[in-house]
Amino acid sequence: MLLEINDLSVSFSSIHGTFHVLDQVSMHIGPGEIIGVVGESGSGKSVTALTILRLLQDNASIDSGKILFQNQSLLDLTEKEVQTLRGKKIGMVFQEPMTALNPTMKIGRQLANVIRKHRGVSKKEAAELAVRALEDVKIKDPEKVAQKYPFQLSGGMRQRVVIALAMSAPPQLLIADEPTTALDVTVQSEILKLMKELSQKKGTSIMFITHDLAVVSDFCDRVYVMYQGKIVESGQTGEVLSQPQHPYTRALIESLPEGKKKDEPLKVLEGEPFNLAERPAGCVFFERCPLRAERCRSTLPVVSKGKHHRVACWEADHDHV
Amino acid sequence: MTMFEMKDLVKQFDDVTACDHVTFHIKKGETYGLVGESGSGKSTIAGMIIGLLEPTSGSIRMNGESLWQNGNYKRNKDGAIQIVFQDPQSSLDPRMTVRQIITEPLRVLPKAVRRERSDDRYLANLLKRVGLNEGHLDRHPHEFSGGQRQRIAIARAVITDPQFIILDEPTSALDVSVQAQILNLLNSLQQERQLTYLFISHDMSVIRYMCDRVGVLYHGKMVEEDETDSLFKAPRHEYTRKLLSSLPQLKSEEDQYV
Repeated sequence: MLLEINDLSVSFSSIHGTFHVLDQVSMHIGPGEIIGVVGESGSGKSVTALTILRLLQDNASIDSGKILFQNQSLLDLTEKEVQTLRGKKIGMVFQEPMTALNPTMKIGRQLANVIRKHRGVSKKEAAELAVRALEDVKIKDPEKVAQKYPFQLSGGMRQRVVIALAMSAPPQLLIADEPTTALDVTVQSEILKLMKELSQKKGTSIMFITHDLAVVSDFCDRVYVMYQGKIVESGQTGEVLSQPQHPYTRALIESLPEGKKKDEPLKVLEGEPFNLAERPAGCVFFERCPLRAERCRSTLPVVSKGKHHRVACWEADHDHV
Repeated sequence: MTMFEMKDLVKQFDDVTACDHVTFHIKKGETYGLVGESGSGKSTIAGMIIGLLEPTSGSIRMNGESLWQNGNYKRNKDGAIQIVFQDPQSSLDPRMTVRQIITEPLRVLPKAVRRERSDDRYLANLLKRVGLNEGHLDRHPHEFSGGQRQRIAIARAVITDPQFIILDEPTSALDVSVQAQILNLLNSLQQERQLTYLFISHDMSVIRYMCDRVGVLYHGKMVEEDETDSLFKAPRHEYTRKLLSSLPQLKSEEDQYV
């Protein structure tokens, strides 16, 4: 296993109280695997990524759990040790490429700096490798682009540059948090294709964080569905999305307008998510669940459906073999 | 019956033609969709309709009357055209209360109407209709979630009893479960009030669900226009085809095992 997260709980404290943003989250990523982490705002998907990268803010505390990366406990490393890992073994791509690039430095130099740091090559070699890295992300005319500043590029081009930066080591794991959300669909499909190719070519695993189920369906081998800091369902993408077992996953899929006619109202999830300062004892979805029963109030099961499919719901027991 | 007619509409910004001889019409009671990527000219067209941008040339007629005359924007009826923007975070003034926000458009209306619609009971009903409650009236935008803020923006748009609302990416910043609530609300309001919508979006699945007819914009030009069903089933322009084939799709079970 490349990455293993076990029972990770994280909370944020502020003057408004303590917010339990991750509640016993467990997931794993194998070498070369592409997994999706999907959920809505506040579900904890980005916090999971930041915890792995050890980039949580000062008011965050890790209340329990372990993260093993290549059998090394990430949470026990010193800041210095983490820095050698970040970027080199674990790359990252965020939603907004402009904020990930230095606006005052030419693209080629930014890349060369990173390459020198990771590989310890000469300046001249690094500059050549930078151009090759731009070629790798299918940028036409890489020599010319290397001489440009970030503001001179389009959003899609910038995200390619960020991916080139993230993949320059190349890392064993790439964490991509909504990398295509700010992009147009035609550009999105090119970027996804590119990431998949790079993953295959360099053997890099990808943790793909998104709110977009359709993108997960196209792109990921396995998926984790999160709701309010909890993984409610996980399994092979095709299976989870075509036979969703958790009422939340079902509601999420049914609320999509795909394939529906205007005169049929979309299915709507009633109510609002609970306040993270007051975590319920039992099921996180209890208040909004159409299938809730008394036992859900106090306990939350993890039910296995088949070999890889896990569902945090009592109801998943009944139907379907 | 035609409500809006855009004829040969052009908007030039220095050396960029943001809207390049666009012609289309919107029928009364329909939802007309405009799709296209960033920079395609969608929001430029919206800006010219609501009077924020003066067309370089061409005309926009609403109910037969020209909206722009000699560089001046003429409303044919006050409050008849409204708009809901993408990001309710930035389209609601953070220092105003919900009451102030939703009654602001009344300023252009006659005193009697103004008084009637700023009455507590009227506002309570309006808020209830968009899925909020009267207890929300004296709160500020930051106390609400993104979906609730968009409901406030919708209340602000319908308070003048408009004929026509521009919906400029109204759900693009929202979670999918919240998106469904807002789309349902927009559809039911349309039925109740016989509203005509111009729905601007880059999200093809939302466009397909909401719109009767669709125009596809590409680099400021309208490259294709059709009834929604035929556009999705048989796109004619190369760009429309590319747009549709780029869409990630939720695969059905059959696809998985083929």
